[in-house]
Amino acid sequence: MWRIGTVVALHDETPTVRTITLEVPDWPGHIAGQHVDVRVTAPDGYSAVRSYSIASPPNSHGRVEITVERLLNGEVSPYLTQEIAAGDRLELRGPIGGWFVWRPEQTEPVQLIAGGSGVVPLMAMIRSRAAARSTAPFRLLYSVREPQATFYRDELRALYDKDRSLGITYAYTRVAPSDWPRPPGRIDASVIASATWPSNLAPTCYVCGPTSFVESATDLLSASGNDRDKIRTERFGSTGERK
Amino acid sequence: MSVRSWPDAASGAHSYRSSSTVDSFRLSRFTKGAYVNHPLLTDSGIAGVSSGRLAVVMSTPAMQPKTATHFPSEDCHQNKPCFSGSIHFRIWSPSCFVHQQAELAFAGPSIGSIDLPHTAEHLTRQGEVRMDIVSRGFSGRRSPENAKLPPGQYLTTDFPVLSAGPTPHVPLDRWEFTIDDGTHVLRRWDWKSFRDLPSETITVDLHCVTRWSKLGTSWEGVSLDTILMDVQTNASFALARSYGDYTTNLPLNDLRNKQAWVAFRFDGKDLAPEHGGPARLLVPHLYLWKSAKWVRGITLMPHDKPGFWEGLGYHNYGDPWREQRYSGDQ
Repeated sequence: MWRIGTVVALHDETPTVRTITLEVPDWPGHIAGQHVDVRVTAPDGYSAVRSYSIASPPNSHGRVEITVERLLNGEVSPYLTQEIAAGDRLELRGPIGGWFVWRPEQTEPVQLIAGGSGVVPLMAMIRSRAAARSTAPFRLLYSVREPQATFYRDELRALYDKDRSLGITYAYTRVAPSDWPRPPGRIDASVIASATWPSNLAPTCYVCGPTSFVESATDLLSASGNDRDKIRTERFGSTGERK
Repeated sequence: MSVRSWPDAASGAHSYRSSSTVDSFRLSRFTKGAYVNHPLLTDSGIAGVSSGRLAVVMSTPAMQPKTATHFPSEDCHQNKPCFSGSIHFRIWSPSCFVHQQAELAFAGPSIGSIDLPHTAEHLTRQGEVRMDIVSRGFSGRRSPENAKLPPGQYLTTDFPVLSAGPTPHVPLDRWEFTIDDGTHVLRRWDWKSFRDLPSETITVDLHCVTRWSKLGTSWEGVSLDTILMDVQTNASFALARSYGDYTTNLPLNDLRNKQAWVAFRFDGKDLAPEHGGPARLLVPHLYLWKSAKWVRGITLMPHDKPGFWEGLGYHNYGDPWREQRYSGDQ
């Protein structure tokens, strides 16, 4: 079933990344980590559908946020990041997915590992935790190209300031701030050792990002003693649009 | 009024004629349960058949999308033309809701010339489109290749990876593949005895539920016909089991008759772990999640039982040509 969402807010996260807030009156609700199919239709009837992670936490007023990164040669993302305006309507189907999800009933430690735009469903989990006033120990390890490419920076900072039990570590792969303790580079065993929960706490791990990132992060988690059954993944195809 | 030829019958595809103002039918493949693909339609299908003429009724969002949709199965055999003559479509234009009619004709022999590796041929279905929700700044990218894809798919040339957890790395000296009936192991192969089975090279199209399709992929694998050859069973369903505990269910018949393989080489190279190596199931006529990576065996079952994704909101069968993505899809 396709539902109609009206754009009520737009927010640029970075020069190429935009968060779109939709109001969907008959939205059935969702769980953090789920995604939604978005259909855009051209005036002549041609339509295209893409899946995007939902960034907003579960809520009762039909708000659905997606954060879309503009892709070079993308078919849908240039429209969503450049053309769309408040008041426009999109069709949505979902929520979809019942595996890569975090529910507020979960009390065990949670390790989130994001590569680039893979932070979006993990942000939904962080927001869900805050909204539910959950005290589940959360850590986010966020690998990003450079400081300017970070999504949700101010909000993450504010959440951390309010609640120090939310751990946030950035890992920059290309450019790091000048005073950053670690030179830019990919996540390695030392980052995993210092920025993630010790494996004896048996955290549930959520890893989301491009395929090569997820492959490497899950191997590192596994090598540091995490049970493979506790690691859930969501990979972006090389197309970048979710799954 | 428009008249359009869609690809010419003489070149081995369908001829097409429209007397409608709605002019862009896409008729590619058809079978029982057939659908017609048109962006203006909410639903479509074969309403009835009489003396070689099929009436197809389709409707737009403004109309109640209720139509009969099934091709008479006795007329439709695998890989055989099941219709020749003309099909009548009744179309309601979404802009003015005027009753229009299009005629669509295609030659029987040309249908038969479509080379499909598996099962029968399909008309494709776009699914409903709300014409009142139009994105003015969106034009999209239409390519001739996309016309050959199942509805809602786009073409990719790379090979995206999708799986629910870490990639298992299975050493060949510990690899095994078993057929069981839920209680007893009926057949067992280690890597060497498995590779001693006769293998086949196949070229197939892949359709992932996440909307990418990849055409003409080349694999080497052992046919399930070979694997199941000496297995006596009354089971109707199968559950593929993988290293990493992934499972997926499918009717046993979908594993038979040159429809499924346990594949161990892709594009001439040993199958990489992230793509399911050392060996994966390959069932290309269904969405790719049915082609279980890291497959370690098949359990034969008298009754159907949902696998991993099937229990998490995805369709139980997963036919891409009928766009059976999520549970609840027809």
